[in-house]
Amino acid sequence: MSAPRVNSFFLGNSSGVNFSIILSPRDAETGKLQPANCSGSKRAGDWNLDVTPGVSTSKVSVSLTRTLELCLPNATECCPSPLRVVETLQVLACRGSVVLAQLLIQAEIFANSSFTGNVSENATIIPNQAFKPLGSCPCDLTAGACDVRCCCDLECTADLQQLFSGSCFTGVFGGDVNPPYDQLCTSQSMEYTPEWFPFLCVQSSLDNTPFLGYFYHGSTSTPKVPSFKIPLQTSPGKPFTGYREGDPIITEEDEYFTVPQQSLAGQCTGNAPVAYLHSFDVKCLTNLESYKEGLPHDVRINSGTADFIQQNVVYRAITDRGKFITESENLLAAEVLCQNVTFAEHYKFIWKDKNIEQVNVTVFLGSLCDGEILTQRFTVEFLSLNSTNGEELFEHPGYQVGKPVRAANLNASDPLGSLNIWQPAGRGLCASATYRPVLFGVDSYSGCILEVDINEDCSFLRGNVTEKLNALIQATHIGKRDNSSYSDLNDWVEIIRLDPFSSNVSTGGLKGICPDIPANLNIRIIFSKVGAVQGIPLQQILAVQISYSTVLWQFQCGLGCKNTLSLLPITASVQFIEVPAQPPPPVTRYQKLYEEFDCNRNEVCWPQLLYPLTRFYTGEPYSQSLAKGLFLAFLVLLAAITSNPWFSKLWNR
Amino acid sequence: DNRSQLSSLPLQILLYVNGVYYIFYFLATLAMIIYKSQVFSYPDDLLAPDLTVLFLMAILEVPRSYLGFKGNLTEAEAPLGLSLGLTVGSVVLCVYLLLWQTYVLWADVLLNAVLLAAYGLESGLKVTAIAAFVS
Repeated sequence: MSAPRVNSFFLGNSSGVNFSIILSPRDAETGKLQPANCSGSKRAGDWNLDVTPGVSTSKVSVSLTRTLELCLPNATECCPSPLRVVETLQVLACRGSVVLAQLLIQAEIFANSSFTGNVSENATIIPNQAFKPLGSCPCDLTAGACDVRCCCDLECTADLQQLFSGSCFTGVFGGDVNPPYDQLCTSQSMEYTPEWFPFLCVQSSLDNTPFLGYFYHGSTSTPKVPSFKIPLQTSPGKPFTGYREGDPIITEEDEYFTVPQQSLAGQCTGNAPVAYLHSFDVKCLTNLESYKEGLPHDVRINSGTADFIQQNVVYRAITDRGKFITESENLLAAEVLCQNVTFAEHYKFIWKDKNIEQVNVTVFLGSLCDGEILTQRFTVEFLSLNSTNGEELFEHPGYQVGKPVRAANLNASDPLGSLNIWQPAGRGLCASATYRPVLFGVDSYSGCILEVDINEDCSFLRGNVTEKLNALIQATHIGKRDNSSYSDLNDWVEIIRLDPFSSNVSTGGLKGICPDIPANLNIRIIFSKVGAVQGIPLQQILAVQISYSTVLWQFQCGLGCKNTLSLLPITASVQFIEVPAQPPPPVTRYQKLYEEFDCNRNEVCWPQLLYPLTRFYTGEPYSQSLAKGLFLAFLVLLAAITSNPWFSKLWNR
Repeated sequence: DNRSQLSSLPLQILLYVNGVYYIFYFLATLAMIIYKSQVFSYPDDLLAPDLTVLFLMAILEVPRSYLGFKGNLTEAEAPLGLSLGLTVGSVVLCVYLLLWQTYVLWADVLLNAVLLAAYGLESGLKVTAIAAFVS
């Protein structure tokens, strides 16, 4: 009912039928409806009954006769104050004194207390928030009308306030803008009062509280916009003297030569420059929507002697599409959008001393369709001019960061072993995940998702997970150095395996929960620098430990619990721990005793006390500390002067 | 010389004790103002009036005390009267620090109340001494 009028229908023949309306037919004491009395009329109180007879149905409407508009200054027929109408009506259809039908209407009409007047143009003066909080009643949002649930609003009349007095807003929004704070003497709220509290509690009134505004009138300065320009090695006029190791390779237009690489965050970035003599091999995931072409292959590269060389590009087509494409779930029909994209690029830079002699590029093209995930592969190799068959001139015996860790199966006939971690693709399921070797010095954490049925047996699940994790470690020994040979047993360290504790704890028949699943594999590799070969430090692996961490797997219900499969993530983490080759020299007694002078290990140390003579302490601005120190020095000087007997003679004169 | 001594001994004692107490009061109030400025937030530059009043009181105390000593010992009513006038000023500043400071700690109340009591007693004794000197 949206207006003070309601319509209904009386079905049946309405000849000889008397319609009447009764107001509040309830018994005041028991609250029950009084038995229907056919002696009513078509008007009751403020309500009026209209009947429009028809052939087989009659329209019955009940309407409120008085107006509900609020009194304006010159009106007469109006409501003097906002009304609230709550009444019960009963409409009866009688033939004679027999009741044919009755209709019960419960009418609740509340006054619309929203603001309908003019908006005043006077601006309210905002008090200085340092002395008075802005708005003593923050919930008083409308001027000239009562805000519901706002007990501090002065525009609410008493009976309106009675309606919502039980559920007022609390806290600062409800008007308590000056709550007593902890340091007040009268506040009892603090659980812990320091011992000095009786003396140093605040006695003054709540007019000055720490909650009042305290604004910083500092000066503003416009920041200088940094100019993100590529810093060039050459200034204009100076000839380009060649590349050193790590320098970015520059193209003809003085821009970086970019090949997509993996950033520190793990994603692939397209605009990553290539560093001289740093080879890499990256795999980047992309799909048709986010595919972007790299640098065009006709860009010429600065060779180092201000001479530009052209890239020798060879285009080939992909033969084995499966190695690059992971099918996505939604396999559409024949009409899919496909595009010719780059699947892999292999760059070979032939270098000599500080210059690049030749650039050979092999580009593999293929077609990528909508809905597929493509693993692009980019490799950059720097080959010396002397040995163009791909081998390095000098093989460093120790491990270098990024080289795969040598693993061997010394107890088996075929000594070749491998130590891998997960390389997931597609949805990340273990069924479709591949392996990639553990790289030295690269702490990694990867995993895949196993789908577990709700009815799966727990010991079967444990066995399955253990088997999948054990498949990562196809070795019994790890090589100490990169050039460990299979014939020498001293070149290898045995892997220390801490097998998962096979618990026979049963869940007591509970399905969907399995404790102690060894789902996390931890590989800890301890290495150290044991010397140097040709200036490059020799890094050697000392020990390898493999352990398992257990998790509690619980079936996760999806929406409405309709799924029967839940996900269990299985992870493998590799951690490289460096230990010093020799134990550190023992701490002398002098060092132990005088540890308090060490500013690095203590919060307060002796040099900090001599601030501002020594600038160790950085807790306060130097100028503030200097001012305080000078003031103290002045006081000391004053005391010294006044205690001098010469001064007292001067004073008494 | 049989002239009886007109200098008031209690006033002298009180002046001396007041001088010593004032030094302690000044240092304690200064320390508390520094503590308050670090722990609580002061609205725009309300710290300056509090510190000004304290230092003004310290500056007033020196001539007040000196004139009191001199007046009592030399039995002259002019310095003692001037000291009384300065005492009134000190009382006003003390009342400010007791009531109208930005944050009044309970220790503030204690110290200021004791100082007010001392000033009151001193004023009474000075009036008595002036009356003795004049007559």
